[in-house]
Amino acid sequence: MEQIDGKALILACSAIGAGLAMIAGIGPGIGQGFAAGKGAEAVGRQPGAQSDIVRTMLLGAAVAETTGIYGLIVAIILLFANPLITRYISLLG
Amino acid sequence: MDFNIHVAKVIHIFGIEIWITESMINSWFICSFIILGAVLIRLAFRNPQKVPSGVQNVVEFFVEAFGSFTSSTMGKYGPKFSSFYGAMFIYILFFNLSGLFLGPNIVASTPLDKQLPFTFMRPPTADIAVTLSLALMTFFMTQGYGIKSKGVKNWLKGLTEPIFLLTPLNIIGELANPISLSFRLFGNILGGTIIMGLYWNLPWFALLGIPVALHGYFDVFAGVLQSFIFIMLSMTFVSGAME
Amino acid sequence: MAILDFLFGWMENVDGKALILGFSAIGAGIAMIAGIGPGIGQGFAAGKAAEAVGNNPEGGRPATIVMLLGAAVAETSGIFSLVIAIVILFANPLVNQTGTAVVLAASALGAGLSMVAGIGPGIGQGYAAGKGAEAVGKRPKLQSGIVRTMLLGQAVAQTTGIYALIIALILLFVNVLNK
Repeated sequence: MEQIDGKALILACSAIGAGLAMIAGIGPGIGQGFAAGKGAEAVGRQPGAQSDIVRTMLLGAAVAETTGIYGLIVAIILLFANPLITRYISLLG
Repeated sequence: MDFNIHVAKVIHIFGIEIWITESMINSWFICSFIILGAVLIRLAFRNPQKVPSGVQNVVEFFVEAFGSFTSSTMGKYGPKFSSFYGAMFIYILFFNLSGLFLGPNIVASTPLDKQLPFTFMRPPTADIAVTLSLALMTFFMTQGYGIKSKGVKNWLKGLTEPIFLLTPLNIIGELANPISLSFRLFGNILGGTIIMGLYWNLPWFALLGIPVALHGYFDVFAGVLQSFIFIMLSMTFVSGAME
Repeated sequence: MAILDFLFGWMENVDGKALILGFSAIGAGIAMIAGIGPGIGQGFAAGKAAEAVGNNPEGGRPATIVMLLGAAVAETSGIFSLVIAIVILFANPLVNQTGTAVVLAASALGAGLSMVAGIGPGIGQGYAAGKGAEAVGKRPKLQSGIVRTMLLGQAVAQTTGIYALIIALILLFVNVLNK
């Protein structure tokens, strides 16, 4: 095996890391789906309070979204603003 | 884009090295604003009328609202703690919201970049030292008031709650509280700061979007919610220890 | 032993620092998988709160407050893994530690893997938040007692997330495996 270029290895692993980070999307998916289901059920039982129900459901869904956003942020950091490459270059230099 | 904390000055006093960091300078900057506000409100209270009006009305409303909130959370211990937790709530709230305002730019002191003397302030709570000190305050209050109200013997017996075997778990549970309190506040605010930092560095077309909404969610909503959570949990732990 | 040599032989002729930083990237990615927990938990809480508003509209406002409170506490295991990922990415402590590169790279990966435990507390605390919101929806007057019990239970449920965080911090900062 010839010498593997360090930067190439870091970029390769960053790609894998970014992909793995997005697995966190399973959580909000399931959770917000459950919230929507319960919201629909509640509106069915109490149509008068629909605006309150939808407001609470959306508020809860927004809070549930945050971990999905954190996974997305780490993936974007790994892909676009990769701090590991700059660290490696500073170590080499 | 570096998100770590810059050190403004290193001071040597009697051989001890003290690092004046960006968080400390920002916190002094914010505390001076809070003190200024308090002094102004105090001046407005020079002649308190029976029927409150204007500033006095607003301030009385907030103090009473917070007093009833603490007594609803802490039961009969509420009134004793409402002033302490009110001050702590304002302290953490202004720290969390400081990401929206402009503050002294420490980095500009380096001659290299000719940046403006002020930038978006880095919230002091995005620094583990600040949040850990707040959480340790709660931890020692919890243990202190627990010992004071239950006596050392009962307090120790409390640690071996249901059966003797659970003592290590109880001890770890007690130690886990300050860790989870400090990391929850620190992580949320640091996450918000980093996301805002990344957002402002995107190319121009992304900025045509709605920076207000992102700031609104991360700085305002998360900031207020996290300071509310910190106070709520701290009250629950202290009043729980005094039961 | 040829298979081992084939699988891991390439690690010899790679620059040690690059190996550590590469595995750190994978570790940071894996750490974020813990986001599954709070996602499910907070979704459950949101659903229960919406249901509580439906059943008893005047009990809706306290139910929403309790849901928000519980969901924010359920957030912590997601926040722990975000903090670990950011520490690995921005302030990588392993790169300038002395020791064999493979061990340091593996401990970066291990730190990420240990944070996946955040799924448990996320779901558990979310369940507590949902049931708390539902209970307050039924009996709004009992809010302070319900909230105190919920927070106490969530604090206890947090301990396994704390164990994972402590192991991850030990792997990153304390040079244990490097004799």
